[in-house]
Amino acid sequence: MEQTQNSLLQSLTQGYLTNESVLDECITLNDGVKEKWKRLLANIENLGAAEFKSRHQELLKLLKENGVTYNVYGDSDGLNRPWLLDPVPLVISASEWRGAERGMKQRAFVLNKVLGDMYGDRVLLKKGIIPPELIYSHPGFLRACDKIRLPGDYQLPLYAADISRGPDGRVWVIKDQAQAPSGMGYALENRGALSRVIPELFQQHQVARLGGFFNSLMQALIQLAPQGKDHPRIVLLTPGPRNETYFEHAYLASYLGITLVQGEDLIMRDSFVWIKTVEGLEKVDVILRRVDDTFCDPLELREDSQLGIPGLLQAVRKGNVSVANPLGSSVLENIGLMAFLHGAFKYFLNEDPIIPMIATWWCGQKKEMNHVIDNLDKLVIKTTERMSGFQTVMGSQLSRSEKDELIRKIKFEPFRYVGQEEVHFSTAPVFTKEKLEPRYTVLRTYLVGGKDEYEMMRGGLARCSPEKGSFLVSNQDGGISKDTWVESTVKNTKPSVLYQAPDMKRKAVLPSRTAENLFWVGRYTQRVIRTSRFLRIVLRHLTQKGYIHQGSDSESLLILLQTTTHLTYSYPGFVEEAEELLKNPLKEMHQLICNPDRAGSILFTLNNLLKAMYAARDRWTIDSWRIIDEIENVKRRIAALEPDGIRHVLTLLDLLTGGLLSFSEMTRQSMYRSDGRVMYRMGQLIEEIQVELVQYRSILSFQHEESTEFQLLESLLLSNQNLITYRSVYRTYLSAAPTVDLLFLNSQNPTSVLSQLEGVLKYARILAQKERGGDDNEISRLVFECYSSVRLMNIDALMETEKDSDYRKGFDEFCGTLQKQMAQVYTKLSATYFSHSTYQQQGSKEGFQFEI
Amino acid sequence: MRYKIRHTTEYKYQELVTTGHNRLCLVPLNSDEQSLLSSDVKISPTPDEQTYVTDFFGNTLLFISIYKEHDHLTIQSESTLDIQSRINAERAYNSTIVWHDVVSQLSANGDTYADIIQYTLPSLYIPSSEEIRAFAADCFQENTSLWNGCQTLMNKIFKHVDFKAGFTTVNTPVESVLKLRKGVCQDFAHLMIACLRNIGLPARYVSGYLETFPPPGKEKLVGSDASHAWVAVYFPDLGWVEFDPTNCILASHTHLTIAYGRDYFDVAPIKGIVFSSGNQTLGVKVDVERMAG
Repeated sequence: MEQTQNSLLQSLTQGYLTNESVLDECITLNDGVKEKWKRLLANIENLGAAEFKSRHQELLKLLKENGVTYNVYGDSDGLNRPWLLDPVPLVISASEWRGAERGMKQRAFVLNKVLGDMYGDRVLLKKGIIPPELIYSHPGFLRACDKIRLPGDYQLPLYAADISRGPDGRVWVIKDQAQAPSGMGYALENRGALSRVIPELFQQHQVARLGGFFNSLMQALIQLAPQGKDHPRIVLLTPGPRNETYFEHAYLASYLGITLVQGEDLIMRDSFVWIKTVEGLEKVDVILRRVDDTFCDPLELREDSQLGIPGLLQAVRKGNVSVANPLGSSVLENIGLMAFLHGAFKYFLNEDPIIPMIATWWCGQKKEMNHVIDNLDKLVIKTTERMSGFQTVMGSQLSRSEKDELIRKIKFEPFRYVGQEEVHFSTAPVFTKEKLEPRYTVLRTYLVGGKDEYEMMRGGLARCSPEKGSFLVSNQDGGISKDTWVESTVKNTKPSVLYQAPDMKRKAVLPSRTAENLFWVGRYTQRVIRTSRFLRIVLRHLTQKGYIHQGSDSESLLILLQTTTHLTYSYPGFVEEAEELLKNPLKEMHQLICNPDRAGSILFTLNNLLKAMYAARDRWTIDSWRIIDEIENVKRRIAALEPDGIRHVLTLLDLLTGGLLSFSEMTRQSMYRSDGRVMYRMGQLIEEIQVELVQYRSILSFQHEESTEFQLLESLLLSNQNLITYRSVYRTYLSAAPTVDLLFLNSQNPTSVLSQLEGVLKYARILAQKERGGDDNEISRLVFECYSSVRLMNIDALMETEKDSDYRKGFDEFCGTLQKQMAQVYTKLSATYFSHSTYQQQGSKEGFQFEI
Repeated sequence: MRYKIRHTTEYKYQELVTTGHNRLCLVPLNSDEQSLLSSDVKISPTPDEQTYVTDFFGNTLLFISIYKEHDHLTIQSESTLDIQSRINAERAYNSTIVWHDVVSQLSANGDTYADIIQYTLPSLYIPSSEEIRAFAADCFQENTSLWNGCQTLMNKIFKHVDFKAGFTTVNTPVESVLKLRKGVCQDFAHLMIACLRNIGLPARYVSGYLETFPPPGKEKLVGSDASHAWVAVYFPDLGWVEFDPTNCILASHTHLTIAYGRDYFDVAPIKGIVFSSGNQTLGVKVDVERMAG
């Protein structure tokens, strides 16, 4: 037994250490596995390599199913690159951690003071501790934010820093994240996933829990509320679904129990910030922001930003809303500061930094610039600002001419450049190809302003380079993340990582934009389901019976094909001069299902649906996400279908509608009685009615020869899942009038137009009540009109044809009017609840002329 | 000298604006060289909110917000000013400090000149530029005094660029002005500031008004004056000295200052966000009237 274990460990770590100069967290060349890692590696051995590998797959699958993604700019897979988590955590001993914690708290304390000073008296500049040029040339120093202070002692409520171990074994600070630290949500998700999929790893470990940190974060946010308000409304401001860490924004918002908003959800009015909800405006007290500071207020900061709230700074200046971290805090992300912070530690604490920083030379000083230029080969060259478009380079990797060019640039604008010592981080084991491999590792740590001092998350987000030997560890470059285990000295008593969200004593609100997204999720869901069902039936006809150019089959098929064109709005399609298409209708059908670029196709609508789901992602439960992931899989399979593989599409469409139906059911349950459900259901019902009216109009507006009519009615009832009901209720041969009765009026039929309108009416009245307390508003009255006209419809009269014609004019027009009215309901709904506000700069769009 | 200024700006909106926020930089500065006797900003429609703020540079900003639907916005700023003579300009005439020494003095004493140093750095409309640097180079020889250098540069710009409206907008880069050789006062000012900063000298943007005179024998027309822009250069031990490159003169008692900033962005007279998607038109009238007594 002992022997096999050893050999497994050997095979895991075979050839692990190749470079003596690199320090590894886990294994030393002389002494083998370090003490603190032994239990973990033993746990892995007990699982066995094959099992560990399969658990790793399971882990990645779970993360993918949970919708954990990291968006990569410019990636064609765009919105959903899966999150990579290594199954081997980074282990940190309790004593090591204590040192890091002391150092990070000290650093947070100093940076908090520095930030306060930058937007206060600027003593550090006046005393020459920090060169004024360094600050004044940095775009993160926002003059419009001068003299603004958050209530309380913390100007930097949240702080994160990347730390790593250097070759000397000491921990170093690599980078500060001061304005909107990211990653803590991923850290939480990593822990959750790892403990769920590979609980065996945790055996005989006491790993510090992460939950407490988020409690402190919530407390810190509450403390920021203006005038010490007891139950402040806190929102998380995100740039939106296209942002790289949008998953995390949604995840954190629902974890913390705060509302996820985009700039357009908020407005400044009367020097307060309000959230636009379905029920009107609600005051916002604290904004936890993930939007870069210069984008937050187009009135005073970046004029071209569409991500912010015009006038926000005025509300902030008057102390009516607090933004965390405050606007302007990116001034601390100036890399050049690293060269001068020693002085700030001395000034504020009279101490040296416990954790050293990477040696940094700011070129804004002559001597330092010369040093950088003379030592280019040993240095990493960066710009002081992140967004400058300059790619960080290692001097040693530049050609002679590239070096000359860089030197020219530095000399031209020296204050923009810094040189930093090239630091070799330590490595940690990453599991790959059934083996462990050392990868450079950086740990992002998080701190939050607590009651008396900063509190640090006991853990963090560790990231490793994607390739052996590479120093790149950013997520944009495809880095791998790790759970981080800080050994705890106290026994954990609570059973799991989950914690209770603090009771906010605030009713949840539904931002208008979310309402709109939910409405469209409802609509698109039904559109995909109903269109799929109909197309499936048409496909059956086409494939089972072949396509015959004569007889009733051909007549009914033509009408069914034309109905698909109406249903997908893909004109001219089968409707006009369709001889070519009709020779091989399967080709067009393939397009209508599988071509995502064809407006109206199933995939086109499905993509819109997924976009809307993604935009409202904080509203879905984990279970719903699993279904969404499954739907994505089906989508990929449909997209891959070739025209001659169209017969496989039937199965795939079944899978798709099945998935959407369970999503729908899940949503109805999880949103029970909320405003979100009202919007979602409204969307579903309105879409159902519209889809049905299109079908009925196309199929029933003309009287047909008996056998054709039979075929058509059968297909229609089948696609609406009413055939069995029809047979049990009417017990007659299929004919038009009873069919219309069933489809429009039968109140036992949940999908009859009348039943659906009843539903719309119910929800419209719920909304009206919230608005004014009355039952009725313009929308509910409009719906009631539709409802009455259906209720009072005279089927026999409507089914009569025009003289000497088979055209049922009355029916056609009746449906047409109803369609228009429903469209109006949507327009009103949108105008009332989905308040769209577009804004522009004062002056013309091209940039107005100078006044003289 | 006492002046009364009336500055009227009118926006007309094609589509109703539901909400409008504006930042006005129209209240003249109260300083050693000019006293602000009165200032009144009348706005139609009446704003729902008005807040005066002193900005980072010491200027007075007025923030206004309108929350009701409106199809126009009229802003009329009226002020009276007493201008003292411009002492710094006279003193600078006798200043012999060499421009090089100014650059090194500033960089050696960052702490003393903490606030001044920001005016040597690029800003939104003032880039670092080889072309600009090259253009300025011959005005500032090895031993040129700061005063002479500024004079030569102002002359060079005045000769190089023609005053012509309609060729540039706020977004025209200063390098293009150099190539176009046409521009308005903001372009002249930005170009001179860019030249100075690109060789390390502190220069800032002045927004204000200029009293104009009708052709001999003609009546002065109402609304014929204009808002104006010029340049202030920092002379150590002296302070800011103002040059008007559009007219190739030193700022005198006919130059009435509203605000100082790094460039136009900091002190634009009116900047705003309107909630509407329609187009808009803009009309501006300025009267600078010399008062008796």
